[in-house]
Amino acid sequence: MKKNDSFSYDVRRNESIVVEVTPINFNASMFSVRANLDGNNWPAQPGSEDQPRFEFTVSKPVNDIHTAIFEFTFVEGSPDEAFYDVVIKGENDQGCPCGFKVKKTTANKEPAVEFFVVG
Amino acid sequence: MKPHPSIAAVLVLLLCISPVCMAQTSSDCQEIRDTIRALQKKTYDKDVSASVREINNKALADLYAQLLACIEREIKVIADISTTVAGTNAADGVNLKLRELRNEKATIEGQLARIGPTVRDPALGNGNGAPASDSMTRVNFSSPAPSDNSTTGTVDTVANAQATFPCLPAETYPDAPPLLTDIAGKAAADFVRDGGGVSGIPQMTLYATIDAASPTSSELLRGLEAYQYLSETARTDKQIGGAANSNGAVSAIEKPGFASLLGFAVEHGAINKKADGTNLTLSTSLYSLYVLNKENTAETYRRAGVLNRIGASATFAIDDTTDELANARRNNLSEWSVRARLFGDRSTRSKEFQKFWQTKINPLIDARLEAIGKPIEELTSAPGAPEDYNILRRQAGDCLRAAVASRTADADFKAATADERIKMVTSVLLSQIRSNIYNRVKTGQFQLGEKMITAIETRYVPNLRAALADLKRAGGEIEKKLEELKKSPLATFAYTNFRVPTASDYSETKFLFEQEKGFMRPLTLTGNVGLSVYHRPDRTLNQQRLRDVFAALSFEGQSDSPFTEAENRGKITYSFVGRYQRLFENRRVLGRTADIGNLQFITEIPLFRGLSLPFSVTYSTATEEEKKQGFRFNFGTRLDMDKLFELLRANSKF
Repeated sequence: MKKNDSFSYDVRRNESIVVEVTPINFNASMFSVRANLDGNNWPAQPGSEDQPRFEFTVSKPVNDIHTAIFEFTFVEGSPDEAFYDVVIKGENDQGCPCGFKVKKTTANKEPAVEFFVVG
Repeated sequence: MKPHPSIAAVLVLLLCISPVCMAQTSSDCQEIRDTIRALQKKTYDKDVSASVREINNKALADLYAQLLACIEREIKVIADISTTVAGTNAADGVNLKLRELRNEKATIEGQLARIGPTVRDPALGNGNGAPASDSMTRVNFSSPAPSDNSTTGTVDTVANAQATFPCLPAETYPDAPPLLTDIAGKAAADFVRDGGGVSGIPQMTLYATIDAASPTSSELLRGLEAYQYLSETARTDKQIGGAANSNGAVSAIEKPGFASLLGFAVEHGAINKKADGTNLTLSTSLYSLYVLNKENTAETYRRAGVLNRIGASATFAIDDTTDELANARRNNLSEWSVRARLFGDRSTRSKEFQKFWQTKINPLIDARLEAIGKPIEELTSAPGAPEDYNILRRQAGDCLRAAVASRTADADFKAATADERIKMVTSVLLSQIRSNIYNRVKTGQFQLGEKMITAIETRYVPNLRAALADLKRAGGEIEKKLEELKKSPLATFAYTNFRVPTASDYSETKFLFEQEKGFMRPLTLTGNVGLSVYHRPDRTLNQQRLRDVFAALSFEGQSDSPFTEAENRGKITYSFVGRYQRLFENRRVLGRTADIGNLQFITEIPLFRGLSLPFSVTYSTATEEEKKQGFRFNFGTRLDMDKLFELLRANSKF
């Protein structure tokens, strides 16, 4: 996987991609992250409730795009310091660490990540 | 191979950029632009064969390099002029031209980066005579294709697409739909504040496509309001401070809710400080100490188990007003306490709230994500998707990123405030989306097809509208659920150690209970029952081990305030409190009575966010010191520093 910017990556066919979300400083507040991959609900891996982990394998042909859209929620009363640390990992990563942070002050809480299939 | 008439046109154009022709044209960038435009038109011709396209692209690459060099010369000249006219009325116009040229330069560099490694002679480098840099090859869409037959011909396809969707000059998008301006504004704000990239490009591309697809789809899209996240609003149930009978306290009853204690303690580095002018209270929780050298993740919280139910605080009398923390010494310690939540959980991590969220809210969030994700997928990859929409997406995204990067290099951007920068980046995003997506679809240069337009009008936008409406309704349900959560029963055990410099120290144990959905609904019922014991009873003062027993009951309500700002949800609160105490040392003492009763009315009126007026009137049958009935009045002002800091932060956010 090659990083173009935090929300755009070049990937290769059959490459395994993992998006790991770590909610930090939420204390007694609930956290919620929902994801959609290529138009379909993208559930986190079973057993990863504390640190939701989303996985997929690049299956589209070259020049196509896998699109992941997330929504991160900060429920009422969550600490100001709460944030989601999103780490994106592929294979033979270039330009990483890859991913982004979503804070309470982040304006766009529905970031979309594009994975361009280049080989 | 059958000869194609386009070959002749291309050869003519190639001739024009030959050294013979260059001598006449190199000094005029406009001529090169016109030539590029003419050559691009040939690329749009669907009858053009692959071999002709290859020649086309080679020619385009050379022209881009030539234009780049030309523009760089112009930039240099105009930059000199800009320096000369700085501070005069002419400066704005010159700087505008300079900015336009830089934007154009960035766009052309993007084109070169894409075309360069696939069709250009490597010796040409980046068009400036230098080898292609890593940053330029980074955005190359094509890579060597694997042996898989489905991916062969990549270079051709990409090269064709590069020529098909070059970055076009920005065009203002003054009437952009609300959903588009919203996501562009948010992406711009995050880019300016945090850097790291432009988020939300797929959504921007989708909204611009829908806006351009047909008059009907545009109208439908423009009927949708921007999405309001199911996020943070003010929650006002926090309560930290000394015990009810400490000097700074107004109320005769104490509430069990100390849920937010945990949050504050961790937020402020394990220890929370609160001062009211009379007392300094430092509070913490066992969890906040547990998490000190760990990352405060959900897993850490879960592992802490019972530790997140226990909190501790210490209150010190303030005699040094210049340095509040200097009062935190043994001599000033007036009390310390430990509290444990026995039952009830009012946090949003409670099982009840999580179940509500999973069953009621998650499906709605998923539905909205699907309402956005599905059209993007069907436009991009699904069978029957418009040809090359994936290429259009990629290239428009690259154009947009390049334009944003270019804008940030401008002198006026660097000199601007954060707010101004956000406006500048928003403007760049919208104008790039307009020229590179909207215009191409609108003018028919990019054909969506009737089937896709029908899908946009009959499924995509209606689905999005339904999902947004459902989420808007869900916002009300969440508020209702949070209100219910606040009203659920909560019981706490508290131990407080009072240190009395001029008398005997004693300890108090107390059971605190609160129930909002009780028989006095809508009034909240709060009850305290407890006793206190002396550590070393002073027999000369008639003290024995058991100091007192007490019970208190409170009924509390609230109503809307007519005094606050529209967005301030602070309410007028009022309560009626009855308290009985039997103070054993007062038995058989002249002028005192062991039985002390209080009736109290308390109200607090919020004026504006962070400032309120508390008032109380108390009738007592006696005090601890004398058997004397009477009324006592307390009133003043209360400043909520957290809210005031929040306001300050909001005002200085950018």
